[in-house]
Amino acid sequence: MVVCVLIPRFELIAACANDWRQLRQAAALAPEAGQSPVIGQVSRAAEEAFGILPGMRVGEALARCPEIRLIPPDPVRATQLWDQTLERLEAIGAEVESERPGEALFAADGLLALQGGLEGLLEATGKAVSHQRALAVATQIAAAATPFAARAAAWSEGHSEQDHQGRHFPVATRHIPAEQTSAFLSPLPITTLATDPGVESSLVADLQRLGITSLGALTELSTAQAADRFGHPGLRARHLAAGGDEPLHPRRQPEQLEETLELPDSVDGSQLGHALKLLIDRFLAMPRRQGRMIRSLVLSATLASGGSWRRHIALNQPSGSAEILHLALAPSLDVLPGPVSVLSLKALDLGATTPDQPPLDLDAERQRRLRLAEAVRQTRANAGPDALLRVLPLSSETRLPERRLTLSPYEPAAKTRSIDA
Amino acid sequence: MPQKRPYSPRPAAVKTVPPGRPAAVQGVDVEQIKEEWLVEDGWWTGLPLKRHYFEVVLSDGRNLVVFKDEGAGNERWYLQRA
Repeated sequence: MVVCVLIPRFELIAACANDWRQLRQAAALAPEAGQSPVIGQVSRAAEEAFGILPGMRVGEALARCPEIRLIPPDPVRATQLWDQTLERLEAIGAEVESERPGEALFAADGLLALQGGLEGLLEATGKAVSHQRALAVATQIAAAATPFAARAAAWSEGHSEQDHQGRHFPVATRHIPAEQTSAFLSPLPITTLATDPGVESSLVADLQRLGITSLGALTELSTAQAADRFGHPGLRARHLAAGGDEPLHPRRQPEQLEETLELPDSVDGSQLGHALKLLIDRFLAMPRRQGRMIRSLVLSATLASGGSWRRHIALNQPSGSAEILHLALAPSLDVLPGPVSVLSLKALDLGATTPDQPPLDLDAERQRRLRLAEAVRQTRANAGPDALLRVLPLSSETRLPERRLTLSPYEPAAKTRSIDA
Repeated sequence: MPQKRPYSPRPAAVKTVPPGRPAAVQGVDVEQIKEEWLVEDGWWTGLPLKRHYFEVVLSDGRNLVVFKDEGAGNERWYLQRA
């Protein structure tokens, strides 16, 4: 038995802070600074009355509804709120899997006796996620035999914000008994597959184009047909639609390694660069780090004008060097939308206590080639397979310029006589 | 496997005056036609190639090479480094 806790439009709710009643009107998350000018999550009123959808360009959204409220995103608050929600679920004994904010799953079997049966567990879950009134209004909880069925049941449950009477547990809870899983899934539209984070939207579109409009129709395909036409993604989709089970991957309890710097006089520009250096020095000096290298981290900022900003940075190699962290983080400051009042650095993933040791090799030429090969690999990983090319001569005497030279992927080990691009 | 080629021709918007000589390239007037030449190749195949090249100097000082592809039947213009 799997329980799914779903809070639709979670990031929009978080951005509203305490003024969640904005969600009863047409509202949408404004584009993030430095990103493409498309809106984020939208309120139910915006979607149902005006047909405004996430990912729509701002101009089109305003044309459909000039009165729409564009709410600045607050990714820092969304992350904090979601982390609090997950911690509250873990406090009732749940081992939570959460691939995106607003959705969490956990196995119920080990908790039924602890919470006095399924009803008791669903009630305890509802209380755990109701630490904020806005969340209590929006939460939907479903229990089913498989993660996909639980997600589908949570998403398909209708929710009425007007029903909220001031109670501090969610209105919508649903239980699909194991023996009714197939009967529940079969009539659901094929778009239900999109609720699973591992299913590509292109697969759903392909299925619709081929006239497969329900999960039941998908299960009527044989595994050979599904594999032949759609490959492994199609096989997995068919497995989910047929009520197949998949194991959950509960999150590891994150270690709280975070340093914050308050800036009384909101800063930007070069002052912000100095503040970043100070923050990095403090972060690396934390005793809790215990000398471990940093693999990935999050740089976040509270803006003086309201709202917040957040960037996730993954390092190519684990490092504990202030210089390397500054090199990785400093470019992010260029896209900050305004002066900053609080700057924070949080480690997401830590490595070993010592950096990778270079091999003891006295062959300088071989070392140079190994470094060159690593540089090529990292360049292609960042900029794509066509990032590094070699110019090869074809025919110097042709009168057609495009037949004189060609471009070929650069391989450091190649020993052809050519010009390196 | 080779993937791309430098000096590949790119479609260009070229205004012409009779008898088919370029008068403007991408909206910039042609000051002078420095040189012109004809390239014909593959006439023995099913895909003959016939290009009328012009090296031009534009009014903004740039030196470009354009050609008219007369072998394709629709006579399109292209820009190319040569």
